[in-house]
Amino acid sequence: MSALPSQSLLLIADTCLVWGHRLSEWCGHGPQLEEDIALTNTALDVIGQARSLYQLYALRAGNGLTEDKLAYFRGADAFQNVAIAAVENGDYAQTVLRSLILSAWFVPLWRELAIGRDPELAAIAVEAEKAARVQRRHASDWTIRFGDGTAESRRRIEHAISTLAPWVPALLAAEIDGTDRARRENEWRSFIAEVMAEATLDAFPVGSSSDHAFEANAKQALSALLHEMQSLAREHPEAVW
Amino acid sequence: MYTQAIDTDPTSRNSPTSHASVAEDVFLARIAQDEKIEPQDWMPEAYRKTLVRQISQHAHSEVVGMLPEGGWITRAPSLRRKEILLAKVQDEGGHGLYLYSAAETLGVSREQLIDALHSGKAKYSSIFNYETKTWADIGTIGWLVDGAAIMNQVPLCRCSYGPYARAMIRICKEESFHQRQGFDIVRALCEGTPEQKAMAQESLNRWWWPTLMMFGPHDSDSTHTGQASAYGIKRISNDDLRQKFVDVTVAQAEFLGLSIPDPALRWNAERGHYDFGKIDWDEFWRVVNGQGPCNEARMHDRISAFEEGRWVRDAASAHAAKRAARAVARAGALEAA
Repeated sequence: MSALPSQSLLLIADTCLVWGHRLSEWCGHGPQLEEDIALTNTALDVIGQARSLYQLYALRAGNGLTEDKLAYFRGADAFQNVAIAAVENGDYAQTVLRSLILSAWFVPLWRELAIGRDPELAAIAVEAEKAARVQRRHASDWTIRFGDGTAESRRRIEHAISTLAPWVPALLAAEIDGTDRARRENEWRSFIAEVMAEATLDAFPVGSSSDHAFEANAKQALSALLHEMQSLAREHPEAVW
Repeated sequence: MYTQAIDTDPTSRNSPTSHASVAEDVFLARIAQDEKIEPQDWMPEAYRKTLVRQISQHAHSEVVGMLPEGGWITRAPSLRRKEILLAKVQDEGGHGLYLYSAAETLGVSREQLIDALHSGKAKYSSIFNYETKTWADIGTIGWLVDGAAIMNQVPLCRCSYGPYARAMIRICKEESFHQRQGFDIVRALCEGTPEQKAMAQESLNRWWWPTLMMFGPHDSDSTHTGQASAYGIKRISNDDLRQKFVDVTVAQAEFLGLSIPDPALRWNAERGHYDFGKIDWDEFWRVVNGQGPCNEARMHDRISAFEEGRWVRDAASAHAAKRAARAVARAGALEAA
């Protein structure tokens, strides 16, 4: 067995949890009931993946570490998530576009981990890849509807693209041990290009590197997110729920 | 979750026997034989209206009911509780969908029903106009509110209208899970630190009486009950269901070590039931009529979600129309070739 280094495990787990948290903020507020349910499904998928990965991490670390200690008792500086996961939801176009960007990144990542040298992680990745494909299809369908829908929806998806594009270079640059970063990036670019074309949108503007100011904004958004998520658990640190 | 059925539509108060047609006699005979009425069957207008009102109130209650608990998803104190709560609130959205679909079989559209909710013409369960101030409220809602919902809903699985009865079978299975997860949250609090136990008691103190109000007015004050019973829509009266709920819940509270906030509560051996104190019906009607702690906030959230989602729905329709037009053009081009 060759376990994935803990830093990479945390990067994936934290990304799943933070993204799931953002999606869960829509619960009860979606544009129609069917979408409310669909977004909640994605939130459940990725929070479930975060739990499995934290459990694996905790098991390997020992010392009484648990999934909840990892989720509720670390500050923003210790979180390893890719920055785009923490960006605030914005409107539905921005939420959908973030799901497209992340799911198109996760599909090749999970696929590679599913056949990787870490069998415990592979078991999680097999199921996660199936879920990520469903998420990617759902987000693609909506991106296409927005690009090739009304003038209003096109304006909104174009705005979402310009808002989220600055965080993409850091996502594509994220190294995860034992996986091929360049191949993941190529697959991401090729998939996104197809969706943009079908949506009759301009090519997705991926810059060459992330702006540090954007990274700082995402850290600030993450701090606020964690402040809310961890508030009750930290108020009662000895409690079992 | 469930809505107390409040008769707000005067047309539904017509007695079913006031229409002495042959068709109505056949209809009532089928109800008497416990046959299911299906969408294509003839039905009296009062029956249809009663069902539309009750099913849509129920659907609205599910959807508005997502809000009080939804606010705690992002603050759930463990990942396990977060996942369960998320799944539970999602179920409620699903129940709303089944029920809007069941109502649509009676010739109304989801849009019409949502318009009626947003304009204030349609009601939803007043229990959702109370605040969820603490995490314990999430447990108490599952334990008491969903517990009361199950009492109300299980008889509806046998209601005379087929699509509603079938929707209720699935809903009841899920509500049973909701009730158990709520009880489990409260159990964990009661077995936890003194602060956690106090949180559970304080929550029970606030939710007990509003939960008893969920069963609706006393039978003597409910014009709706008699008619709904004649139509095979309502099987057990408000007071009987409320009594059953109290009898079951007292033992659960004792098991948890919690006190029910009612000094008049005592076992009546002669009746074989618990006696309990007087319900504050003024509070009930205040909340039903829009003056509860959260009526305004709940409607604001629902209307905002709907209005802010309009451009999304419009985009989906516009894109579908464009695709259809392109498919027609392609087929035409092929034919010409």
